[in-house]
Amino acid sequence: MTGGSGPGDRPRPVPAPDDDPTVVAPDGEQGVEHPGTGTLGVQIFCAGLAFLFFASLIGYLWIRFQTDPWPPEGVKPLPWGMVVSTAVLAGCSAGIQWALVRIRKGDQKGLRAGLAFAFALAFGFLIAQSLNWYNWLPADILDRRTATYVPERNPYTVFFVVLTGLHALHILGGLIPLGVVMGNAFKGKYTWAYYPGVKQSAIYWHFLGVIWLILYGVLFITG
Amino acid sequence: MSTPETKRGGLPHQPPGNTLGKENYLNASRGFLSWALTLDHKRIGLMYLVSILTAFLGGGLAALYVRTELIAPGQTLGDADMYNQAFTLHGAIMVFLFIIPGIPAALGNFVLPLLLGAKDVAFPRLNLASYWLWVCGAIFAVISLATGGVDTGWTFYTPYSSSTTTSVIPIVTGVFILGFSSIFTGLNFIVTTHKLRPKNMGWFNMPLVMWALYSTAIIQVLATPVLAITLLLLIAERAMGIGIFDPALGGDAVLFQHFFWFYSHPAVYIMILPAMGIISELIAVFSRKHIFGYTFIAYSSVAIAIFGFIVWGHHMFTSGQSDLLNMIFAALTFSVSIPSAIKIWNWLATLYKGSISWDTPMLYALSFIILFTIGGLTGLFLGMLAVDVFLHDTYFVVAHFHYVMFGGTVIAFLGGLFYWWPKMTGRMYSETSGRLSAALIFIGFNLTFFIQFILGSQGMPRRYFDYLPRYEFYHQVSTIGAYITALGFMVAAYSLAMSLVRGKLAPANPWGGNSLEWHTTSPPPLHNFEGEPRSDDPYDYGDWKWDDSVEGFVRKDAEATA
Repeated sequence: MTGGSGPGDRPRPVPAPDDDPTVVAPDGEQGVEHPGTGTLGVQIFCAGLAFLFFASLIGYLWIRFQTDPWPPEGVKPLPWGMVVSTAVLAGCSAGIQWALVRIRKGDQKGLRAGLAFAFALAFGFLIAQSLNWYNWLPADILDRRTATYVPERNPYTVFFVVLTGLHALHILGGLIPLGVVMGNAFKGKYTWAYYPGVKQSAIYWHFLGVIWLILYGVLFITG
Repeated sequence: MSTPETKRGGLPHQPPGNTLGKENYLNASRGFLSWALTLDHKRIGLMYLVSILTAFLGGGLAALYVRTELIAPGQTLGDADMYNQAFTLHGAIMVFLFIIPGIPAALGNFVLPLLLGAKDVAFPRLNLASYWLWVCGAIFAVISLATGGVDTGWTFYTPYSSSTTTSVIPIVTGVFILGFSSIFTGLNFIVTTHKLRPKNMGWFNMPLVMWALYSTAIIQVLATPVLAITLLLLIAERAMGIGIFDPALGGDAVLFQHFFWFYSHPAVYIMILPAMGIISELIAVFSRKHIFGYTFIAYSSVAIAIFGFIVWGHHMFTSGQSDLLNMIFAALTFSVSIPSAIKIWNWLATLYKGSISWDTPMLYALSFIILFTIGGLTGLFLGMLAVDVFLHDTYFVVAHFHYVMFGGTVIAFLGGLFYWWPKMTGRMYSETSGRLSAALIFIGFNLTFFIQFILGSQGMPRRYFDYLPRYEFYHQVSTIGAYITALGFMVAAYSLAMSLVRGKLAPANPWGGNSLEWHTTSPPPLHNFEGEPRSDDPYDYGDWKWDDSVEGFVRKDAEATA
């Protein structure tokens, strides 16, 4: 992210009226040497992640439609806890979007509340997913391979672990920059004209949310 | 003759525009950490260069083992398992540690911000992370070697790779980590190209090597994640014993091939596109003539990147996939040759009526045109279904890809290295040894690999440790060629190493190029430029004239860069 200065270094701007978009720099990076750099970086990163996700999905679908019976024997239906984690992740996205909307109006309190809410819910998502894993996966999923075929260890559970696991890893990894952005927000680093970290967080977390919706939807429909 | 450092502030016989002994990026700070934790793209590029060339040495030694083993039928140096490990090591090191990072990491990192008149790339810390991720990947490769090695071939085909007891997981983990290095470099270059161009440099005023690096970066970001999931699933299969790719456990071995080649075919365009970008620069500068067909060359780079994603099935013609799929992939494969051919024609048109200088970089560039043409045309043989059924998995394939990867990318890498060496180090290498290296490598390479086209069409399969006596002559010629090539590399290394000790001090613009890196000192200062360089047409050489006293080119209108 390009560097910026605290609120004391620039004259405090008057919050822009909502219907005058020319007053604020498009990416919320007014006065920066190369505006939009970090935002483009996050977008390109998400493009790469999209390819990762769609390749994984194709792998899952290929195996799913080649394996008979499906679901393999001994596999329980998907836990309803995944609806809960979906709702939690949706709340997380809503929190970040709220933060973005508020900082555009110069509302520091709204920004901080939104980011803290989002951070907490992202954490909550990971907890909800851990419970889902605990409830759904067989106890010996991580045993080393044995000579005989174990019914609980089958392509469905493996793809479930790999797909939801990769998603969860990106949520976990995303908590770090989100924490940094939250810290910056609480230090008053962002203004109505300068909020690149918030915008970039919004792009990334909405993206993760959409991926989750597609992932859960595909697993649910084809399961 | 030696050029001793007399005192700070300059060296004897120092042309204006040379900053050795004065302030430059090499002496801006000292100590191990100032390099290990540097954010300077030039230092990162140098670290990559040393690391990647070390990997090349390792892969090259493995190649010499393979070629020595094959000089006679039967066992020569070791047994069949040793041989399998040697060619796997050669392939994996060369592909993942050398040629994919290759030009973008070792040369691109150094030169890309300079070409844009910028101070650095868009994300310098990410750049440093890319380098250390490369190092981690290399460490895992060494771990794999130390724990018994791998004998699956660099393509890790299942079901052998999912069931063999050799050290697959460490090396696959290493490749996985290297993928991140590649993705982050690509991301950095894309954003740098979009956002850090100077105000008066539009997309079509960029040097063509920028278009090449940009197209490469797009492939790096979009294709490499597919390799990531492929390797992850392979690791999961080995660790947990379920059937994704292993037919014995209910999996699908062809699925692995689809996943693997969906990345690995675009990967070969990661390998060749930056090389082609360098050739555009070299051909124009050393013909002292504006590049012909700039727009065509620029768009052809993008076209190759896009087309490269839709032809992966041509690696699988004999895998049992349907005839319809085979025909579609064959047709698309033929079309992907068109943008490459466009480039060759434009380079030839640039040479025509140019004022050719036979400096070392130009010798490598001309070698590229010849060798890549052969490699590319033989790709068409392989793209033709009826012929590929016969040639698949023979030495014809080995010869084809060595012509494009070695005769293409490695040759262009060397050309670029000699070209930008004065800028990077402030030293000129000796043209005698440079030209000798180009000649030896050209001769040795052709001796090694041209005969392999014949070997392959005569039926010798690849990855075979032993062979029928009727192939022996071809293998002997090929092995002799390999040793001549190795000698050529030693001469190249000697040439560059000696330049650091005894080389003449380089002027700011030894070659007369007009892209922005030649508008600053050799070596550049820490922040690349004094002031804001103004960019005009990078292929307009009219502003520069040769100056004997400087042994380089100086601007006609202004004073030479201090």
